[in-house]
Amino acid sequence: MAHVLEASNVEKLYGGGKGSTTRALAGVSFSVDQGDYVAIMGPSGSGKTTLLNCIATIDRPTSGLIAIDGADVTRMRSRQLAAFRREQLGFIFQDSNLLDTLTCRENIALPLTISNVRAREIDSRVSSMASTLGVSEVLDKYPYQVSGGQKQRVAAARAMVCDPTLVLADEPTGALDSKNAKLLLECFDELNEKLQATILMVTHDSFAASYCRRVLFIRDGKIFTELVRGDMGRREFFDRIMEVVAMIGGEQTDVL
Amino acid sequence: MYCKLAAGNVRRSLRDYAVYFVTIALGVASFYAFNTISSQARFLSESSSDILQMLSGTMAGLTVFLALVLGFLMVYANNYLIKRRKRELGLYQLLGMTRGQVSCVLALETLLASVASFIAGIVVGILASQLLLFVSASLFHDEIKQFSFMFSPTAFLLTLACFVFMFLVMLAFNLHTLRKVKLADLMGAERENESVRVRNLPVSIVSGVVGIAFIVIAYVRLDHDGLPVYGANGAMPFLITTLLMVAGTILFFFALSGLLLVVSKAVKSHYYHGLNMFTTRQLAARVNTASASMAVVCLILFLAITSVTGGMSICTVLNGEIEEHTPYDASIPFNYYSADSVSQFDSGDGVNRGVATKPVDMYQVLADSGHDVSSLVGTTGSSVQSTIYYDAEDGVAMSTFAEASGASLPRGMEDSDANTTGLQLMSVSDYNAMRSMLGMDPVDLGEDGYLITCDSGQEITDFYGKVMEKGVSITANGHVLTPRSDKVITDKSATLQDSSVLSNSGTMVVPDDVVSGLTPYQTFLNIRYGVDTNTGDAIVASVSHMQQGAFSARSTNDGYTRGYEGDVSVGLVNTYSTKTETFTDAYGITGVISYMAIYIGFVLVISCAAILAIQQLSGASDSAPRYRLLSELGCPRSMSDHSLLMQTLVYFLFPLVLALAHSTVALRSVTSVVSLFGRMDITGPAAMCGLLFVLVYGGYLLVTFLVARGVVNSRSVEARS
Repeated sequence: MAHVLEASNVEKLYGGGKGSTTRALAGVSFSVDQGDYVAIMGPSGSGKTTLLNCIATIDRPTSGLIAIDGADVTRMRSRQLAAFRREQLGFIFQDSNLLDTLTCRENIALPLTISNVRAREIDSRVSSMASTLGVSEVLDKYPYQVSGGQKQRVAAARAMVCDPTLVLADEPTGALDSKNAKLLLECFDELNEKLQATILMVTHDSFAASYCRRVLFIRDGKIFTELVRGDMGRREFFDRIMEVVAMIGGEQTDVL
Repeated sequence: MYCKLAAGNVRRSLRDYAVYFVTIALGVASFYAFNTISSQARFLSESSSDILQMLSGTMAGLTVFLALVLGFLMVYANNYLIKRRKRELGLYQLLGMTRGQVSCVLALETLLASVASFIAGIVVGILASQLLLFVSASLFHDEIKQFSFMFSPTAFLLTLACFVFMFLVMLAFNLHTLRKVKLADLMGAERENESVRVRNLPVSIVSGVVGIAFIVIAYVRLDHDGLPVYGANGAMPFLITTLLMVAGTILFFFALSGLLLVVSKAVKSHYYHGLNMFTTRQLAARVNTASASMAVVCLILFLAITSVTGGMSICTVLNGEIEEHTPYDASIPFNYYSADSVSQFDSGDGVNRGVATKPVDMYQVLADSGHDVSSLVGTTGSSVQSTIYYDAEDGVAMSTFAEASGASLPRGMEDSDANTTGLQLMSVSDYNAMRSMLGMDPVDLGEDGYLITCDSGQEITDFYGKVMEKGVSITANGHVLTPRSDKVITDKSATLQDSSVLSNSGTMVVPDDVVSGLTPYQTFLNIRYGVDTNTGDAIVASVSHMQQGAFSARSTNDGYTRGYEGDVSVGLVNTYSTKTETFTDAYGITGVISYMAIYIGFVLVISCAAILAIQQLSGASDSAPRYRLLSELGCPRSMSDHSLLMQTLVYFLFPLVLALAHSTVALRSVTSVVSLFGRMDITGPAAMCGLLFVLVYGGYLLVTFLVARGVVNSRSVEARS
C-alpha cells in the first residue's frame, strides 16, 4: 500500500540570528499508510506542533521532504497549496475553530462551497456527514448555541466532508471534558473504520492517544520511540503509552 | 515612562490610528484653509474683497458648527478604538497602575496622536490656502493683484481653538469610558464587544418592510407636496415627511443584516457558491453592530450631497441667465406712492405727498434733481421709459386665470398671497417702445387684445402658457380683453429692468386706454450708454441714495430724486441697477455659496468616511482569525480578498446609495422650487463637486480595503501556535 504521508529528515530552524537559532525539528522521518490512525505525542516544546504545521502546509520545513499522496508539499507555491489543502487535507483544532457567524450546517458546507461543489450535492453530503457524527439535530444552530463536544464533532464533520486524503487533528480533545472527549474519540474510531479515514493526531493526552493504532513519541525535535497497538486492547495500550510518557517525563526530572 | 508607553502604543496601533490621523489632519487643513478667506481679500480687487470680508464671519460660524460635527464623529471613532483596547487597559491596572496613571497614559496617547495630526493638518492647510486663493479669484471672476506667501494668524487661532475643544471633549469621553467599567469587565472583554447574534429574522423583515415603506411614503409625499416655500401651513407636513425619512432610514439599516440574509439565501445555488455564504454572514454580523452609525452616516451624506448640489445648482441658475436678464446697461426705477404710503408718511415733515394720476417723465424728474441723463445716452446710446400699473384690489390675479382656464396653480405657490393679488399691467405703447429699443418688432393688440410677458421660471411660465392656450377672455379695468397669442412672451422684452434675479412673474400687456385711470406703480428708465461703462456707472450711481427709509425722508432737500405733479411729490427714485453691478453681485453670491457648499460637503464627507473606515478596519482585525481558518481550509487568497472587497463595498456603498436616492428625490423638489425663478440644471460645477466628494469617499474606501487586506493576510500567514 502506498504511503499517504511520507516525512523524511524534516528539519525546522527558528530564529536564524547569530547563535540564537532554535532547532524545533531535528530530522524527523516517518510515514503514514492509507487508513492509518496515528498519534504524535511529546512534552511541550518537543516540536510536535511545528511538525503538524509543516505537514499541514501552514509552515515550511527548513530542509527535508514531506510527501502527501506522493506530492512534495515543501516545494509547492501558495496557490497550489491552497488547492492542495482544499482537496487533500482536513483540519480539526483544539478550539474547534468554527466560524461563529455561520450556522453549523454552513460551517460544514464551507469547504464544499470553496471548492464550488453544486448546491444540491452540498446539502446531501453535509447531512450524511452530520448523521455519521451525530450532529444532525444541531445543524441549524450557531456554534455558540451548542456544547463543546458537539462543536468538535461539527469541526470533525467539516474536516471530513471533502473526503480528504489525510485528516490532521491538533489536540482535538484538549478543550473537552472526559465524557465529550470519549464521544469524539469514538467518532474518530468510526470515521477511521467505516470511512477508511487516515487520521494524524497531535496530543499530549495519553487517553486520546490510546484510541490510535500507532503512537509516535517525539522529543527535542526527534522521533524518540514508536508504539504500535497491534492486537492489544485499548486499556493495555493506554498503560504502555503511560509507561513511555512517564519515562520521557522522568528523564526530564533527572535533568532538573 | 508614561510617555514611552504612550508613544509605543500609538506606534503599535498605527494602523488603527492611521485613518484617525488622516481625518483630523484633513479636517484641520480645511478649517484653516477656508478661514483664510479674509486674508485672501488683500490680494483681490475691492468688490471681491468686500464679499470675502463679509464671508469670513460666516465661515467662522460655520467652522464652529463643523468642528462640533467632526468632534462628535471623532469622539465616536476614538471611543470605538478605546473599547477595543479594554483588555490592555485592564492589564495595566492589574499590573498595579492606578486608574489615574492609566488615564494619564491614555491622555498622552490621544494628545500625541492629535498633535501630530494637527501639525500635519496645518502644514497641508497652509499649502492648500495658497491654492484656494486662485480658486477664490476664479470664483469671483477676479484677478490676483500681487501674490505673496500668505499666513493667517486669525485662521490659525480659530483652528487651534476648535481643535483644542475637540481634543478636550474626546479626552473627557475616553476617561469616562475608562472610569465607568470594572476591572473584571475590562479583563473579560477579550474583544468580544461585537455580538455575533443575528437579529430575530421576522423582526428584521417586518422592520425592513416598514422602513422601506416609510422611505417610499416620504418620497411620494415630498414629490407631491414639494418644499414648503410659501406660507407656514406647508411646514407641518414637511416635518412629518422628514421624520418619516429619518425613521425609515434608521429602520432600514436596523433590518439590513436580516434582509441581506433573506435575499442572499433565497437563491441557494448562489448562497452555496464560493465564499458568498461567508461574505453574507460576515456582513450580517458587522452591519448588526454598526447599523446605527450606518444610518447616521447615510443621513449626513444625504445632507452633504443635497446642500452641495442644491447650492451649486442655484448658482448655476443665477449665473446662467444673468446675461439674458440684463439687456440694458442700467435701469433706474421710479417708485410711486400708493394711497396707503401717502397716509402713512404724511406726518407734517414738509413733504407734500400724493398719489400720481399719470406717469412721471423720468428725464424731467432726473433733470430737476440736477442729473443730466442725456449726457449718459449721448448720440450713440438709447433710453426708454415704461410704466407698470397695479390694480391690487380688482386686478386680474393668477387665481382668476386659474379659474377661467382650469389650469392648476404652479407648484409651491398654492398657499401664496401672490395668487390673489392682481397682475401688473403695461400699456402696449410702452411695451412696444421697449421692444424697439431691443431691436424687436412691435406687437399689435388691436382694440381688445392682451398678452402676457413673464421671465420667471418654468413652473410659472407653464402656468401662463396653459392660460394662453385656452384663450380665456378676462375683464381688466372695465375692458373685456381676449388674448392675441397662444403663447407667453418669455424673450428679452419680458425683462422689465436689469436684475440678478428674475423679476417679472407675469405682466399683462394691454391696449393703452385700459391703463388710463389706474395708479402707476413703477416707471423704469432703461438705458444703453452712449459713454464708456465706467463713466456711465458712476453717473447712474450718483442719481439715487440707497438708504433704507427713503419714503419717510424728513425734508424736501434731503437729496432724493423726487417726482412731482404740480407741488405734490408722487414718488422717488431710491435704487438703481447697472449691468456691471448685477454681474458682480451674481458672481459674489455664486462664490459665497460655492465656498460654503464645498466646505460643508468636504468636512461632512471625510467625517462619514472616517467612521466607516475605522469600524471596517477594526472589524477586519477582529475577524482575522476567520480568514486564517479560511486559508487553512484551502481557500485561495483571491477568493478571500474578493470576499473582503465585497464586504467593504457593501459597507461603504449602502449608506451612499441610500443617501443618493434620498438626495435625488429631495433635489427634484428643490429643482421645482428653484424653477419658479429660473431653469435649474444639476450639472457643471455641481457635478464637479460631486465628483470630488466621490473621489474622497472612494479614496477612503480604497485605503480601507487595502489596509484591511493587509491585516487579514498578515495574520493568516502566521503559523498557529
